[in-house]
Amino acid sequence: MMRRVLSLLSVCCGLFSVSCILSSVCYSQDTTRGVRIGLTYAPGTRPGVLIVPVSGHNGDSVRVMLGRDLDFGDRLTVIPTDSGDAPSGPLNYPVFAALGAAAIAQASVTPAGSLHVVVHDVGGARVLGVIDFPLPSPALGGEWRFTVHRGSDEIERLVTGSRGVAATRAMYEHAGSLWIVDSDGAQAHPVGGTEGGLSPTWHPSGRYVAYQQLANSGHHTIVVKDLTGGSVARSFSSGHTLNMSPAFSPDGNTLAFASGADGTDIYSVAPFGGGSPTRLSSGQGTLNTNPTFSPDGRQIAFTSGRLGHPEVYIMDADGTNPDLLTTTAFGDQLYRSDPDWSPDNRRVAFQSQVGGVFQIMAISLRDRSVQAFTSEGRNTEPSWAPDGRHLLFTSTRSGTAQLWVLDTESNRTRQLTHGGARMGAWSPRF
Amino acid sequence: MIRRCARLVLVPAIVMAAGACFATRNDVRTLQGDIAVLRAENLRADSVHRAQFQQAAVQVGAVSDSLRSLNAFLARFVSDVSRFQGDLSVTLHQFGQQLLTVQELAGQTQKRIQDVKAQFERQEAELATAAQPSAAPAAQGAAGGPPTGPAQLFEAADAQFRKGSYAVARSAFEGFLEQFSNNDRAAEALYKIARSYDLDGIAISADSVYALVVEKYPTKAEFAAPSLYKRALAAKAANQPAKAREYFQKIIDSYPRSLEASLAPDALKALPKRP
Amino acid sequence: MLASRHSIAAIALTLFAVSACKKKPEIVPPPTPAPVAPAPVAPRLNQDSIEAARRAADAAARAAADAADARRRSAEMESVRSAIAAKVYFDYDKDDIRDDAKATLDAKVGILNANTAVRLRIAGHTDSRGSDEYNLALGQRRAAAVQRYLVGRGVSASRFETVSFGKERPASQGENESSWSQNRRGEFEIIAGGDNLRMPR
Repeated sequence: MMRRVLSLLSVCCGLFSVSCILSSVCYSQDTTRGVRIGLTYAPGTRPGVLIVPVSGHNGDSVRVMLGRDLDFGDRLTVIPTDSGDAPSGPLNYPVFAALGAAAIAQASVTPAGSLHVVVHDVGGARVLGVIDFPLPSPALGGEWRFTVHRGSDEIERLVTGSRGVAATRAMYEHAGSLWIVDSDGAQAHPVGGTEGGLSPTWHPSGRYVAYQQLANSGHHTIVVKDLTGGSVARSFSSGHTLNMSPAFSPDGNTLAFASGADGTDIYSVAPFGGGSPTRLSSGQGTLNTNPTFSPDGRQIAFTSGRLGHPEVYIMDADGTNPDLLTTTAFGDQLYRSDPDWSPDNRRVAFQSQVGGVFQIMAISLRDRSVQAFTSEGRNTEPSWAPDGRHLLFTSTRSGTAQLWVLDTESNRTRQLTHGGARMGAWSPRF
Repeated sequence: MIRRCARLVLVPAIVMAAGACFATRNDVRTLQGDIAVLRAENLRADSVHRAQFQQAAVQVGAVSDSLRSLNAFLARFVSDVSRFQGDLSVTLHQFGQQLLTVQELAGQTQKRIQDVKAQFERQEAELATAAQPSAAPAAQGAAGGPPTGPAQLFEAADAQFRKGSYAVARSAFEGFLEQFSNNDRAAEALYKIARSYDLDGIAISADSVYALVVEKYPTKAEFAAPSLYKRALAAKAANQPAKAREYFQKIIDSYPRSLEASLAPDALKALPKRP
Repeated sequence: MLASRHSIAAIALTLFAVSACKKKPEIVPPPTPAPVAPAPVAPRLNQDSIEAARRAADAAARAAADAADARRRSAEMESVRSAIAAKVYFDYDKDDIRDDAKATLDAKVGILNANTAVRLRIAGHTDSRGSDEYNLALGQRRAAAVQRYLVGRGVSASRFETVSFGKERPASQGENESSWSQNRRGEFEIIAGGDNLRMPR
């Protein structure tokens, strides 16, 4: 008997050690997204990165932008240093190690007008990678800045294994029009011809956006706009006066939206093909809005009032098998809405009332556990960054409605807009 | 461009692989708990259970073997990924194949764990019966099986389904149907097998199992109606409007109160006109 | 002469009818006396001028009566318009027609029955508390609930268009219950057949 127990115990131990190995593999998978060419670092810490002074034309601007981007990325700690001359010759790694740097970004703007970055691994005393991006003119213009953001994302990828989201944009509503702003809050500008625009959403290509357009008559139509051409590509209506909250499928070939005369249902239409919109949901007179696709395009989460108050549901993308997602008891606050499915398929962000005020939360698709992210002010309309880690949302915490960015791992927040904004939609990577 | 595509594939691939082993890890943890409980029970139990116990130990060994192979594969996979990132020497196709293997291994491991779990459930139940001295022989003779088995098996499968481990859920539901084909929830199990194919994007298998649901459980409207609807959409996608029309019409005629019956008229209208 | 007087009266009447919103009725110019030519017969001339004066007085009286009539019609139209435009209010997150709203809507039913050419746009609005997007759907349902009530009172559904503004066009800007309750509303706009509105009999 005793021997058997012992043998079983040893099996258990074996099993446990295997699961330990396995979990460590899982861990590195999860944190570095499979790329092990970066530095190894402990969970929860942000390795230090030092951006040495940047040589070349507008080097100081490049350095400031890179530093800000890497800081906003929430995966690295940017080690502050004095400005000065760009170092020449080989880098003295131990000196940088003493400053707490795990990595060094050595950037320059070449005479030919390229952004050239050498990324060093301080611990390994080696070069991790070299980045070379031609900088479009004019210097400091929108496209020039965007290229520097690309450089930031590449540095982040080399050091942490995960590409950053600095080279992305957000679209939002402000003063009756739609606006676009870069991920660092710069370059905010209105998009022409979008008067009456609400609820913008990006096509996965980043080339098109869809939104609903409210006319003075109260009629809402869905508009798909080509951002490169600027002219209206197409507009859609199910035949009812209300057509709202559009969302593209991840393959970009389906556009879902809500529409209806007495109660609303989810409809879908081929945004660039033929055919008229078809009804997906069967709400029987209840309100069904805010569709958002799963990353594989096979399911749709949406807001529905079918139980008498808004909750978030999931259904198959063909409208079958509707199922309540937000089953958790939320006390007497019977209001959950505006879901956004994370691009990594791990969770669905939504807004839920707490004490009568909306807050941003996310529900895990694995075990239905709910995580609350905000508590200050009214926080609504979450939109995931393409990294599945950062969330864009509307908050009144500064006194007026503005867009804010939240890092769901550290709960760090920053204000993105300052001139008033709502209905933010984070773009895909371009 | 290739690099970009590669990354697009890479991220979901890693997430899926990582997801699969998360599931496995939790299950191992649960299993460890089960083993501990069983060990305690066994210290008290009679030698009658020794044989079963030994068998369980063998199975645990098998589980740990498959975990080991999964682990080894994952390690290889990870190093391949980094090489892939480095020199793009591995083609996307190979990459996909490897991912499938990871899923397959994870699925097998899960299946084994499910089996062991089911056996533990059974043994626990028997231990409980044995604890009641007079009733024990009669109960064993009459019931001849575990009284709590089907519900627990179904729940375990459904839990996998809910958290999106469709391959695992599928094999667990299949195991449930092998043992309890006449259970009340058999129709639901079969329907969820079809859905698990559907949600994994394996359309042909999904359609054939939906067909089976319609055939075997025509009176269970909650499963037959959506199965028919899925079949209709599949027929439409396969450019077989006549077949699609027939299925949509059957939903309206046979299951007028179903959700799908309220969608079918619109779907019928959207079908291309008869030639 | 007679013809010209009539035409002047007719013009005046039309003016009144059309310019219902103009509060001050125009003064009808007295018919210009025909240039008096040296008349051969004095009694006849006398007779004529008496007649002319009487006719002028008649016209003025009729014009005054017409003006009063137009004023009455204009006031009537005003009250019809305001009855049609009268808003209805809703409870939080609800689309049920409240009892106070029923009286408001019943008044509209009579007017709609008396003015069969009128088409109405019913616009649903919400307060600022719910989700921006869900509120648009809620506003639509409020408009539909109002339409359903009116149709239930016998008015054809084809005479309505329902739209929603959600919380995009607040009537009151505050963030308190008094503002919210003013914003949870249904509004009405005549989109066809708005000329010559009649009071229900």
